[in-house]
Amino acid sequence: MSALPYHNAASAPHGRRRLAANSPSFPKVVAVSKTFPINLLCGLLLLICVYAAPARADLSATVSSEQSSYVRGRTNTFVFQIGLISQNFEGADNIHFGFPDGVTVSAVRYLDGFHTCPDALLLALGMGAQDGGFFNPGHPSGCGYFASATTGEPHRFAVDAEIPAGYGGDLPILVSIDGDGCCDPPPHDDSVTLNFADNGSPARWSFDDVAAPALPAGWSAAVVAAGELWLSESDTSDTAPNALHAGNADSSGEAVLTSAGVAVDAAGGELRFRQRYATDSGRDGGVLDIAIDEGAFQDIVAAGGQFSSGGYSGTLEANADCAGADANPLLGRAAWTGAQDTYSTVAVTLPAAAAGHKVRFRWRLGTDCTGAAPAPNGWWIDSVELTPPSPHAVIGPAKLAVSTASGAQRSETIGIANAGGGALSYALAIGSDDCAGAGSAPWLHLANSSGTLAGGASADVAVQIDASGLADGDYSAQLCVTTNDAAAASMQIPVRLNVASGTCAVFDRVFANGFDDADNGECGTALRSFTDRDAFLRSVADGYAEDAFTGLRTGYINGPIDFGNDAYTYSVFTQDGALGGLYLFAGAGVLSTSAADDHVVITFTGAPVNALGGNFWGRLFFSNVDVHLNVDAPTTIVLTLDNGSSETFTANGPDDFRGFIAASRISSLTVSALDPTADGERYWGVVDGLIVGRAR
Amino acid sequence: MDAAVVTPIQRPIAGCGLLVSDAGRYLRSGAFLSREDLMKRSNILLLVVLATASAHASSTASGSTARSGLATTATPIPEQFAGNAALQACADQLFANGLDDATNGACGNGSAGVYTDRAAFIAALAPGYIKNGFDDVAHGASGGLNYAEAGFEYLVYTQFGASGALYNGAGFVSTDRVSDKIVIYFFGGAPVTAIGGNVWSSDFSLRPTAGTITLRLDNGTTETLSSNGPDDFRGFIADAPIFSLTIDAPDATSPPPGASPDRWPTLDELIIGNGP
Repeated sequence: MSALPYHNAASAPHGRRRLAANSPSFPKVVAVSKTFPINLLCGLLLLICVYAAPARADLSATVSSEQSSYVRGRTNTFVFQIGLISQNFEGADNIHFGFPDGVTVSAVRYLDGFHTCPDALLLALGMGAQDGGFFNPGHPSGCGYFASATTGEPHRFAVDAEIPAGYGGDLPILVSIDGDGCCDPPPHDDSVTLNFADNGSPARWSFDDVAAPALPAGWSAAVVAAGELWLSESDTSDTAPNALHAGNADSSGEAVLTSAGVAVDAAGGELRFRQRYATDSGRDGGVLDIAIDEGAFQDIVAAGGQFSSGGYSGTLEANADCAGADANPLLGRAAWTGAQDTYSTVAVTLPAAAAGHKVRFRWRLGTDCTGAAPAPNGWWIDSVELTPPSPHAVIGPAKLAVSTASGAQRSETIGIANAGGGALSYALAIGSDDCAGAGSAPWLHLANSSGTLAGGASADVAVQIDASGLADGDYSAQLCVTTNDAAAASMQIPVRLNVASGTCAVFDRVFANGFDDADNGECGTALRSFTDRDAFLRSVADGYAEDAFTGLRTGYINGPIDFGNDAYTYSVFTQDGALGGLYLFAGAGVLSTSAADDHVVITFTGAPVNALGGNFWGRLFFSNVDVHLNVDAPTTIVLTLDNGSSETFTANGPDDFRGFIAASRISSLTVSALDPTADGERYWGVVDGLIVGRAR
Repeated sequence: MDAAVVTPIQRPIAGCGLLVSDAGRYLRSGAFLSREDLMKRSNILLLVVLATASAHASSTASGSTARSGLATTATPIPEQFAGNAALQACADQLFANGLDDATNGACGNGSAGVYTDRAAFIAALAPGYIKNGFDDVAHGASGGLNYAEAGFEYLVYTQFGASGALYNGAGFVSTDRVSDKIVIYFFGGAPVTAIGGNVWSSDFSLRPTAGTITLRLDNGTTETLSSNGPDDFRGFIADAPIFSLTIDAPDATSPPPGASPDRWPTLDELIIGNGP
């Protein structure tokens, strides 16, 4: 038995990549508490209020944000400007941020503001949970850390939140201010809710992050008569572990699955999902409906949608044995019916009327009074995606480095995917250094260098490297990629080739564990470098470890600490001979060193690793509750692999990603931040969102 | 800032809030403070904090540009801690002379029986004791845990002058910062003369790991054990009220090569009551 704690907060680590929710255009979202008007009035008419408003609320707040919308499937950074208003200068002990189900806080930073009571030990709590922020353990302390003023004392916070790819609809964020209780009159607390709009970014539900038989947040299932309920299950998924499934009942009824509401891009949208089914052919089957702005559902085609692949396979026909109430509720409708025993893609362009509106989708499996397909039967759906109708190119690597011996050949790949809708056309060519014209590299050949990809499809372009007749030395070329994605109309991929005698012998000997290419007859090794996280992940095999370093213990860490999953494990510490160990700031959710000149060293201790990526940048630390906390500024970051390969770049902030896929095993990564900036400030190299695994 | 002067930079050591006003010089010199130095200074700090905690300073922070994970000046204690006269008295005596004062009775008389077997400990208790399995504690950082049951009132938190709060596993208690200790405080409620629980040392990831655990009652009774895991039990029955129990996990002095010396104190299955 345990007694009940009456003050407790907790967190659980998890997270994904980070991205600013929207470009700053301050202020976009502004809200005030219910007590604001009278306090504003008091602020304007201070003397009158002091003497004439004994019943007023003492502590209140105004809250605004530099963002107005959010991006799904990313770490969104929301910057809040909070004005604390108190006629009696009551401070705030706690300021925290609450998110809806499924959304979690991954980091909080106090960026600016005037604070009092400096003896307060402010805690950053709730990292990895729905509600997180700064807390005074002595609350109500009588002297809050965050100062107030009669006209509103400004404070500025940054909050990183993990928003799942499947989150839909408005995003309400509850900003709570808990006063220190110093001074009457009450109330001493206030809260403000800001709503952030769904920006129409691609939504995706893989159903893999729910515990079967649960449905994702916002999704619902219902049955009519003898229908069988839609549930998540792991027996027959397209992407492991889960798919959604409803069985084929042998009695009249219906299984209804309704998605979460989701905003469609102003340019329109394309819905894609994977499905398989086994129903009583012609008698039982499924249809797809759409509802716009919470209106009535109607068939996707009747509403103006158009299948571009995987459309309905037949019509649900009458059964003489099942008349009236025993008939299939979907009788006479075009539907998917019969058997399709492997997963295939359904793609449908949404009705024009859905553009810029909120929609829900409904999958209905209707059955009549008799007959069912042999078990396992029913309808399975997986990997539901809603994207804009325009193509979105995801291309990687951003750089390719190859080492081989003279006379040897190697084959590498450039991955291209269409993460949007419509058709993505692409072409690769060898170009001049600036890709303004044609280039020449006799040792470099491309296969399948152009094509068109439907939404969700991907292709690998083969890059053949032939060192026949090449003398030892370095060679370079420029691959030039063009697409019809306006955001990625052109891209340059530098290719570097090092030809060295003895290369094959060395690598055959060192990498005889299968990482070397001795098995496929090729010689040498290669390193693909990525700057785009999505492109990198498309090149990494399932089962990789991903750590956001959220909600960890904090402070000085004097020895190696372990991370990873069951397969890919690694330890993190500083280099041999380092001045100190690690230091983890509360609420920061990143790994960094204690001493600025030290390096973060990541040593892989589990299954062999040849794919590695993460976010790396420089941060100037003061206190986690100080006005200069976590200043990110352009910093030279050096990433060095154990084989001597290195990547040096200027990182500007948390969005800077670098990934590597090597032909040989990677044993360690060293992360360094170079010399002080011109103003003498030191920036610590920090690591976040690390991905560790194997190439796909 | 002169870059030539600041090399190398080391963040100030935790647990030394009042020293942070010196952090600028400290950082620039690149000097280190030992853990022992810090503990000595923390003891001094405690007195200062106890003497000043009730004054709700309106002064602003100084030295706010230190590269630190700490609050910028005095390390705080929550108000309800500082307001307890009995606890202050104990703490003052404890830290003023390095020993408990057994003569005034405010902090116990300096003796307690130590139990290593849970069943034997429970058998020795008077009826009315309580158990706390911390089943409601979730994984992650937390503030202090206040409990009130069967007339007993207590707080589970870190020590005065701590640099951080708690960091718990699901269903058990530990500290956030490696240098901190778990302290069970009795500020009010029914008197307590018996306390016991499972104590062990954990690593960064909350996994049990070999180490040493030191328990100390406010009356000066100290017990040290080699931690074997979450089943390690220690109980105390004193003949005067207990005001606090402190659980520490010192760093490993000779960890295996490549292994971390860091150890965190960890607590579960707490028993509170009175002796026969």
